[in-house]
Amino acid sequence: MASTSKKASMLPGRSALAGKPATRHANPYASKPGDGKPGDSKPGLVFSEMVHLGKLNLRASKSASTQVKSVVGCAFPTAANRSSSAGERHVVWLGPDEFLIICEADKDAELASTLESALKTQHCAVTNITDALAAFHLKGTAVRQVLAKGCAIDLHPGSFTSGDAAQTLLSHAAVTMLAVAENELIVICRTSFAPYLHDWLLDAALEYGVKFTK
Amino acid sequence: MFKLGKPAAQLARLNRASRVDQARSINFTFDGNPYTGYAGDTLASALLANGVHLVGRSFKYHRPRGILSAGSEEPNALIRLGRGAYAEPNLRATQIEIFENLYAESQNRVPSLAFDIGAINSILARFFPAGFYYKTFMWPAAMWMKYEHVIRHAAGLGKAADDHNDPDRYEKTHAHCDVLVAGGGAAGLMAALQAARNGARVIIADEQNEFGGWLLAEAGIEIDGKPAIDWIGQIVDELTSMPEVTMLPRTTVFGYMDANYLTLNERVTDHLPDRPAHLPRQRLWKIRAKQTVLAQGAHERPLVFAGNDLPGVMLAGAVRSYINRYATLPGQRAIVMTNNDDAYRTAMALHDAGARVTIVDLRAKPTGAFIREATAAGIEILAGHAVIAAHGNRRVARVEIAPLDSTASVIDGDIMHRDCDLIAMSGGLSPAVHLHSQARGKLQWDDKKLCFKPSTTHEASFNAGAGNGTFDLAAAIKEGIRCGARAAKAAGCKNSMAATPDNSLPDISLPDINLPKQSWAPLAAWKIPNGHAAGAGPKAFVDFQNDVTASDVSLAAREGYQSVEHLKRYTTMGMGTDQGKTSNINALAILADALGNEIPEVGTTTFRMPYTPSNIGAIAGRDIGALFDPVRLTRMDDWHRDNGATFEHVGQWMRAWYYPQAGETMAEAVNREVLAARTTAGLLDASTLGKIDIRGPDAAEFLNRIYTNGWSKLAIGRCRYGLMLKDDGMVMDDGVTTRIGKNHFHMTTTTGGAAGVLDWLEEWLQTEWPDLKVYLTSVTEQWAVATLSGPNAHKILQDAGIDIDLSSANFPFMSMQNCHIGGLPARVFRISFTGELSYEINVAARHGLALWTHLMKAGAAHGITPYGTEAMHVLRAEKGFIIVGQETDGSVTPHDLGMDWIISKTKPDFIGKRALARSTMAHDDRKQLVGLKTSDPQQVIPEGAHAVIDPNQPLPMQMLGQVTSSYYSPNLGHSIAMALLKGGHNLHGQTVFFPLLDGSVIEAKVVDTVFFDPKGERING
Repeated sequence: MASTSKKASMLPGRSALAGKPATRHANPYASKPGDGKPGDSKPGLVFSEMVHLGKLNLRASKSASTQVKSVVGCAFPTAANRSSSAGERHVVWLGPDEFLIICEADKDAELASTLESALKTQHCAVTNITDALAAFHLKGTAVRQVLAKGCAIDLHPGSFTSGDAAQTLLSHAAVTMLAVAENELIVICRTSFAPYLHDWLLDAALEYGVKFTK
Repeated sequence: MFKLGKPAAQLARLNRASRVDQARSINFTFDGNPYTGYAGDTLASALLANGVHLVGRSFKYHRPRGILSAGSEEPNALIRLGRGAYAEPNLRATQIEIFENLYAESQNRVPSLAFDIGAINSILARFFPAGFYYKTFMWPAAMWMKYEHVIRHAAGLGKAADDHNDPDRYEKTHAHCDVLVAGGGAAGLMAALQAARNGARVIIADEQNEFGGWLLAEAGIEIDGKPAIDWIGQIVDELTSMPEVTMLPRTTVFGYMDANYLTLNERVTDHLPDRPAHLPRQRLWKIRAKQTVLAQGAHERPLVFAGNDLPGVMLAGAVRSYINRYATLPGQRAIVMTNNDDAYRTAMALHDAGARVTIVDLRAKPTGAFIREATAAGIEILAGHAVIAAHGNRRVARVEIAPLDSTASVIDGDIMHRDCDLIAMSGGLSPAVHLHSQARGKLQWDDKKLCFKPSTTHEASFNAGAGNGTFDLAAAIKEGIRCGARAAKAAGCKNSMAATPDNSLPDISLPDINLPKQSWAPLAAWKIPNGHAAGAGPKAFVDFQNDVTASDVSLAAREGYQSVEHLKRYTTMGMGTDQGKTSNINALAILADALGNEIPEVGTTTFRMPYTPSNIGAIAGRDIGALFDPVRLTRMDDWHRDNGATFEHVGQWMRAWYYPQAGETMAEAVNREVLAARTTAGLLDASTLGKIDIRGPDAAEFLNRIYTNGWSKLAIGRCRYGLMLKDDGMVMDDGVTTRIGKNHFHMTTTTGGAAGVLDWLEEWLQTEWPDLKVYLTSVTEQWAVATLSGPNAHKILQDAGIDIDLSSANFPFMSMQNCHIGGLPARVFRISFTGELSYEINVAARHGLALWTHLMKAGAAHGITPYGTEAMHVLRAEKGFIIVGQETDGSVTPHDLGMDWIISKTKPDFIGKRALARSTMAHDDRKQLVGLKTSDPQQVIPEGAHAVIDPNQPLPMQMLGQVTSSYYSPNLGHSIAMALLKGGHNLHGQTVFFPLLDGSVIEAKVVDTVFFDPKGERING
């Protein structure tokens, strides 16, 4: 994305959910504190949008792993549907020659151009898709039960463990999901699906209690 | 509202320990009358405790019907539960747990159960034989619509809720497990426990409110020295304590599909008087199980004798269940009629509860412990006898009993009479093979136990217990343990105790059970003789729910319906909400007899899901209302909404359609927007266009193959329009692609085609041209796009602070520049879908709204007008630009569109080239795109209207083709249209006609498709 100026982050930018009322889809129980399972005062799901989380799509052969590690901080994951991590950065396996690189908000343009330079001699495609995708951070004791309502893959903590990644459907939205910990996941979707997923999560988590934080 | 009096006393209630809690009274209403029952009761047991046997009228003859069973196989006791929007028809009283203020009504009776005018059908029964509908009402065919209305009203089950908006919440969820156990009786529980102990993730589901299966209905059975119920409790406790075990009571496994995919319906809050709002009423489980253990148990079969459908005629096992589980005695004077040992346990239960009992055993010389026990208890046993007829008005009152010959098919002796208020009948057990069979598992006939039981399966599945024909409790428990261990092993569980090399099982300590040896070989007596000729005499029912009698089955066979599938459809046997759970085997046996065949040769009908009726609400789950389908919004959406736009759906996108000002009609708004785009400036949100980033040294070659025109010579920074064909030569998509760098292109696609085009391109790269070094990345949503169009576009961009020279010398048509607009980094394409001076301004999506508001502000002084998709359509139609999917439908070639200019003659190949060379592609009579100008300039031809040469020709007319786009053009002052007409390119100047549905005819002249600015002079402003 040659046109992305370094000034971009200083300009007014909107998150995927900007302007959308917190609950477009009425959920009268979601906002009541402690309304979840009887006697359970902590919501089973707490989630938030990871506003402007940096996301680069990398198409390159395995041989780019060394340069990726030197620029991003972590190399290509060694197996399909896995991610490698270094601090807040992740490299997610999407296909044999396709990876999603996640970085800190507002570091995407810089990382994209550094990576592009580092890979200059190879056939590759570094594409900044930070705005094309929205990310949610999900945490809570019921997070996997909530996701299971819309996701057909096995989300048991023994099957979808930390570092696992999946490209799948969450209800009617295509998502990439990352398992961070047993009760913590990142869900990434196309930006235009973010309001729908936000509503869907609020609704699906109703029985466990749910809180959306800005 | 009924006036409720004092509830009736529970006269049939026994004072004994049971699964109901007699300390907790529950009030409920049935047909307007108040009753009380106890916690743990079903509606059926509570009604029986109150002496209510008559609970419904039958489907066809409106005969009085009572409660036959104690489970999900119930064909008769269907009731409507709840009121208003919450009402639900056809629920089985035998499965409804009562709760405070439960409200239930009987069905299929006018005006009341006791007096039902529909019962006249019963008197006219000789006019309602099998296949009655087919025989009577198909002639004359024209009258069927009238007959149908009357018949559907008279013959039907319950009524749906009055309010069609179901107020309840339903959910669905996915789940995975190593072992799914269907059925929580002794075998299922042991299978679950064994699998779980071996490390398996287990889900065990049972349709009842508590686990234990038939053991809940037994008394006096001790396992390992404790009452069976305590033994069950111990297993349930252990399973509950295991973190990887999910226990699902009140959950029916109702479907078994390919690859061990099973569907379950969990009734989460149906049994509660107040349903918590945060919980779903029901939940659909969609489970992928590595292994299944099917332990669904068995259904007892009725015996087919005259009057066997009277209230008070019940299955023997059900009677035992009502006594032992629900502390309810269904009758004081009981006839137990049986062809097997098991009903003797019911006789003993009745006897112990204080009823007077006569056992009528079809077997000539029954022997064994059960017979000795009954004899010792002083119970009258009539061996070699049958009840040949039951009589009564609204409940059985007396029976005729006769001795039979050795074949049990001929009456051989004098008829005797007994008064009674209950008949407990047992015709043997049929394993519930439904799930096994749904999954295409085969069945085998057991000619000792007289039942079909599972044989081979295509799935990773085991059968255990009574559902596998293993009726003996000890054997069923053993089988459950074995299946649980094997399933865990087959699922790959690490610490599987069954992982011995020869697949034998380690020592399993089987529990001691205090049951005497029991014969599980009933006597084959499928139809009890009644002394009348075939087809005559009182009715003996095979299928209670569909009112199919033994003579209906025989008649169907005589009429040539020899296949069991034909029999089913002709007689309706096995249809309805119970799907023939109690009737199928009896019907097969009677059919086999009529055909002179063996039962296994006749076979069974196909088992299909659902096992029991499942609520559509649960299948829909939360995919309703706003959550039914995602709505995709652009980044400028807030502005459109704030400024009164109306929207249209384009795929999942919501796009601004037009922006009506106060008092404007749609036509007025669109005309204003269309005029503004050609006189001042228009602004369109074009964010939804598909965008694909293409990179790699072979990118240009790739485009050469994908598009019909040439791409190698496109200069960096320049744009080109491209047409994409399917390999059949038909137009698939179009768009402008720009060369960003030597090896870097930016492709745009149609809004609706974006995802399909990316898949298509990837498919060619991955499967046909893996040698091409090209990478594709979707960037549709990375960019927000505002298209500024019109003569004032330059002025507006200058006022908006664009930091590049806009002169055509520096920024010519069909080129791209990176720049800033009002400080926003932007990628601007000078391309045009309107024919005006036009810029497609792309910014990072997060800046979309900022860009839009900035341009609107900068353009205010220059007449900037936001326009929607409708104006966009008109503007492009004025220029004769096609829209893929509107002018094309997958059968249109570039030549048909008059776009030969875009087909490269020099390229060696491109997708569709070979197909275009086929001779039929050059035929003159293909439908070809033309423009139309109506004789009356104000008339707009409806889109889709068909053209004819002669509007006065006789019907059916010879049609030339159809209108694809049609609008009023405010810029031209007349209507414009495009159409695909046969041989259209040769019709120029001719007049064609459009006869419309209202009888009017529109006249139009075939013209060129470019209506406005044919020389393209406006492109530079």
